[in-house]
Amino acid sequence: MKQLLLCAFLSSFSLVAAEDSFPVQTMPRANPADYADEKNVPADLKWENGPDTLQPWGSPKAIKGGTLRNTDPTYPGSFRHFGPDSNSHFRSFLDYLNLAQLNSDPNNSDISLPSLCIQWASDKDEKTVYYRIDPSARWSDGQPVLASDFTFIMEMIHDPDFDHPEFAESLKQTMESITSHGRLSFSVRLKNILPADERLYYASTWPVPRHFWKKFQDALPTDKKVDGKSENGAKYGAFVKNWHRHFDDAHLIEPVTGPYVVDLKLTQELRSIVFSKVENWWGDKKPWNLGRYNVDHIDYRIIPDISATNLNFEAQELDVNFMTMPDSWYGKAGTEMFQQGWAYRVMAFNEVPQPMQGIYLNTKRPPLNDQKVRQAFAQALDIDGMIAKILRGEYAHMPRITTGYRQYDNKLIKPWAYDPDAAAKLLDVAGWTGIDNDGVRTKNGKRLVIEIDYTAKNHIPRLLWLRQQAFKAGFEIQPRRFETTTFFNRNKRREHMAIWTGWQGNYFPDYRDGFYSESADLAESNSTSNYKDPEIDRLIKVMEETRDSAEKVKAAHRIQQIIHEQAIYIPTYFVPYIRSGAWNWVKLPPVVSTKTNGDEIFEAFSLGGGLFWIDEEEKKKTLDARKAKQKLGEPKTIIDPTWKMAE
Amino acid sequence: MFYLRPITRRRLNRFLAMKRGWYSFLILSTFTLFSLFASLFIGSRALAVKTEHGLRFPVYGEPIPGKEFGLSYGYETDYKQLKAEVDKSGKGFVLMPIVPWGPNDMDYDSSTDFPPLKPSARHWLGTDSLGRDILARLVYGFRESMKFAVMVVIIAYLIGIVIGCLSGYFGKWIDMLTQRLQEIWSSMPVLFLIIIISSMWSPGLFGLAFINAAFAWMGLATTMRALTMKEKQREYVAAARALGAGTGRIIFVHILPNTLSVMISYLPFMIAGGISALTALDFLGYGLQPPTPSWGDLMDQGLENLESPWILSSVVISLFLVLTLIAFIGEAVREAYDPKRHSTYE
Repeated sequence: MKQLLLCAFLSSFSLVAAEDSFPVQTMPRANPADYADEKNVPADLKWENGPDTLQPWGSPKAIKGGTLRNTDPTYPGSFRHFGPDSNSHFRSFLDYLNLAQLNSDPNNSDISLPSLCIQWASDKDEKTVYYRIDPSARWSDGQPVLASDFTFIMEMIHDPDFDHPEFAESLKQTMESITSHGRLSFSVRLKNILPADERLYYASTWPVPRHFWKKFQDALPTDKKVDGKSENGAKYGAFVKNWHRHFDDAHLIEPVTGPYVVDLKLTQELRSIVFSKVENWWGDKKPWNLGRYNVDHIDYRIIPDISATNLNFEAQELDVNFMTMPDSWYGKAGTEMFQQGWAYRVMAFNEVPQPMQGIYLNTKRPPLNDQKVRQAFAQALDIDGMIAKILRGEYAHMPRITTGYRQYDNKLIKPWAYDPDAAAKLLDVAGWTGIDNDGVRTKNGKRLVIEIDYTAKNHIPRLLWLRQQAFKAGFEIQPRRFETTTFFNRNKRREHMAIWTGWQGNYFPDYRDGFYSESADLAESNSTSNYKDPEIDRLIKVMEETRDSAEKVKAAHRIQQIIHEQAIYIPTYFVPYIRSGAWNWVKLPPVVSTKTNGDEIFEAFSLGGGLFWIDEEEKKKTLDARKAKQKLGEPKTIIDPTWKMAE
Repeated sequence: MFYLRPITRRRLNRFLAMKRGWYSFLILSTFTLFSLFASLFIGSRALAVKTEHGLRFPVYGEPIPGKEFGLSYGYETDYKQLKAEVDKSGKGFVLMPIVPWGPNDMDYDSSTDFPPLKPSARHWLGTDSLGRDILARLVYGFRESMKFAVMVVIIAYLIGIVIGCLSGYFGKWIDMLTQRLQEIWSSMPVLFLIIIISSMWSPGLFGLAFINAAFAWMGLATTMRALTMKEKQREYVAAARALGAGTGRIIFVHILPNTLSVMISYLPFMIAGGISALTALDFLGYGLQPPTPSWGDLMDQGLENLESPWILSSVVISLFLVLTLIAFIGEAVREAYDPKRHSTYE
C-alpha cells in the first residue's frame, strides 16, 4: 500500500517538473504490523511521528546523475569511522553519511523528522526514548537496519580493545544503555533526566552494522581471535588489540545508511576520495529527500591549499569552489570565467551554532600558565583591526566561546579589546619587565614569544597582522604552520603553545570535551587549552545533570565567564554566511541552501545538503562558449537572503 | 703589506685579471655589506629624531616607547606618524631612512585600494599582497638568503672535509664505513626529506641550514677523499713522515692546504645552491616561518597574484642577477685555482 502511495508521489513529479518547488508532501506513517514482535515496551507510550506534511526543500527540476568535483584539503589517515587516526576532516563526511534515528528539520531545528526511525516516544521516566526503525531502511550493502545494529554501538564502546576513548567516553557520559525490544524496536536509556528537546538530541546515535563486524571478526587470523569474553564477562564481537590494523590492511569500507558510500574503485590514493551513490538508496523515496542527492559521484580532489584550489577551479578541474573567505570571493582567480558568464558566485546566509573559532592557549606551557600573561595576550591581539584591514570588514568579532547558542549565550561578555597599554601593565605585574631590541618583553633573559600553530595558508596575513600589532604590547607572535596531521598530533600530545583552530560545537553548548579536567589528559579530546579548573568541572556537571533549564543556562553563562576571565581561549571571528563559486552547469534550487547549513552551499551529504544537480546540456554549452571565448551573459552573483538573521 | 705566498699571489692576480668575476665579486660584496646595514637605508625606525625631548638615534638599540617623544602610547614609536607630527609643528626634525618601510610593515592605510599596491613614490617596487614594501622584502630577504647559504656552506664543508679526509687518509674500515654511509645518504630524495622534516618541526634559520647541509656534504666528501688519497702518495708526504711528522701535522700542515685549491672552487656554487634551496623551500611553504622576509615567499605571492606583475618580476630579476653574479665569481675562482696553471707542490 505504501509502495503504491510512493509511486503516486513519483508520478506526480513529471506533472510539477516545471515548478520551482515540490508540492507539500504527506509524511509516511508506521505500519503497526512491522512491530508485531515488540516486547517489554510500555503500553501507554505516546508515539510521535513528526509533522503530518512536509515541504521538500529540494528542486523538482533536479536532474539525476553526473559527478560533482569538489575538493578536500587532506587525504584521511584511515577510512574508518572509529579507532586511532579516525579523527580527521574526512570523519565529518562519515558522520553525515551514517544517519541517526531522527533528523531535525534543517530549516527549523525545533522540528524532528523521521530518518532511520519512523516513530519515537519518550517514557514517563524522562530518561528513556523508544524508537521504531523504518522497515525500508537499508545499509549500503543491502542488509536491513535492525535494532541489533543500534545495540551494537554500546557493546562496541564497552569493548576494552575498541581503542577510541574520546568517542567511547563521550557516549558513556550521556547514554546508559540501548535495549532491543524486537527486530525493529529498541530504546535508548540516558544517564540523566533531561528536558524533552535535549533528550532526543542526546539519545541520538548511529547504528553500527553488526553483520559487517561479525564478518570482520570471522576473517581475523585464528590466533588473533577473541575468546568471546572480556574483563566484565560480557560477550563482545569484533575488537581485538590493534583491530584497526587488520581493518586498514584489508581495505575495508564500513557500510553506511546514508546516500553515498566511499568508492575505493574510483578513489585514487592521496589524490582523491570518491563517494558513489548507493544503488537504489532506500531514502530516495522519502519526502524530505525529494530532489536531493542528485549526482551519482562526489569526487573530492585532495588539494591542500586555497590558491591551488582556485587555479583548479579556473582550469575547470573542479565544478565548485568554496569561497567564503574574502580573498577568494574578491580574488582575481577565475576573473574571466565570471566576467564571461561561464560561472557564477552564490552566497547564502545561515544561522548555526558558530564553530569555536579562535586561539586556544596551552595553559601548561610557560609563560601561558600565568593568567596575567594570558590576559595581556588577549589584549595584545588586534582582532578588530585584523577584521577591518585583512578581512575587509566582512567577518564579525566573535564575542565568546559559544556564539549562536540561543539563550545559552552570555551576552554580557564582551570580547577582549586590543589595548597594548593595559597589556603592558599586566605584563609589568607578571614580572615581564625587560624590553629587548624588537620591543619584546623579557623576564630573566627569556623573551615573551608566543608560538601559534596553524594549518591554513589563509591564516598567514591574519597572523602577521596580529604579530605586528602584538609587538606594541611587548609580545612576539611566532606563527608556526604545520601540515594537518602533524598539527593534530602536536595538539594531541599538547606540544603546542597556542593553536588557531575552530572546533565545531554541538547544538547545545557542551564544555566537557574542551574544558573538563579529565579531558585535558585524554589525547583524543579537544581540550586544547589543557586547562583544569574544579569550578568549571562542577559547572559542567551541573549542566549535565540539571533538569532545570534556567539553571543550565546559568551554569553555561558562568563557564563562558570563567573561560573569558582566564583567557584560555581567545575568540577571533565568526561568519554568518557561506559563499561559493560554481560553473554554470551546477544548478541549485531557488532557495540555495538550508538555514542550518554551516558547511558550504555545495555540501553533498549533510541532513539538509545535496541540493545541487549537474546539467549536462548546460555543461556542453558552457564548455563550447569557453572554447570559443564567447560571452554567455553578464557576471552573475546570487545572494540568497532567505536565512539572513534579523538584526 | 702582509705577506702572501707566491702561489697565492699568482692566483689572486689571476682572479683580479678575470674582470667579469672580479667586478661581480665587488658588486655582490657591496650588496651583502649593504644588506647587513640595511636598517640605515630601509626600515621603519628613524635614523635621528630631534624634538623638545632631545636628540635620539633610534635605528639601533632598544626600541623607544612613544611616551618618550610625548606621544600617548607606551609601545614602540611609529616614526612615520611622529615625522608627520613634527613636520607639522615645525619643531625639530625626524630623519627617516630613504625607504621608510621595514620588511614586516603592513601598509593598509595608503589609499582605498587593498594590497597588493602598485609601484609608486610611496612604495618604489610596490607592495606584496599583505601591503609590505617589496624593496624592503627583497633586501632583507637577500640578507636571510646569504646568512642561510653561508651557514650551509660552513656546515657542509666541515662535515665534508672531516669525513673525506678521514676516509681518504686512513682508508680500510673507516673508508669502507664512510663510503657506504655516503652511498645510502646520497640516494635519499633530498628535497622530499627536507620538506618532511621541516613540516614536522618547522625549524628556524639555523635548523633549516643544518638540515640542508646534512644533505649537501656528500659531493665535498667524495672529492676530499680522492684528493687526500692522491696527496697521501706524494713524495713530500713521505718526506714529512720520514722527518718524523705525526698524522695530525701531515693532515693539517701538508695535505689540507694542497687540497684547498680544488675545494674552494666549489664554494661559489655551494652558495648559489644554498640561495636556490632556501628560495625553493620558502616557495613551497616549508622554509622559514613567516614573516621572515624571503624571496621564495615573494615568488609564491607573485604566482598567486599574477595580475600584479611587479611582485613576481622584481623577485625573479633579483634572483637571476644574484645567481649570475655568483656564477661569474665561481668561474673566475675556478680559473684562478686551475691546477693546470700552478703545478707546484709545497
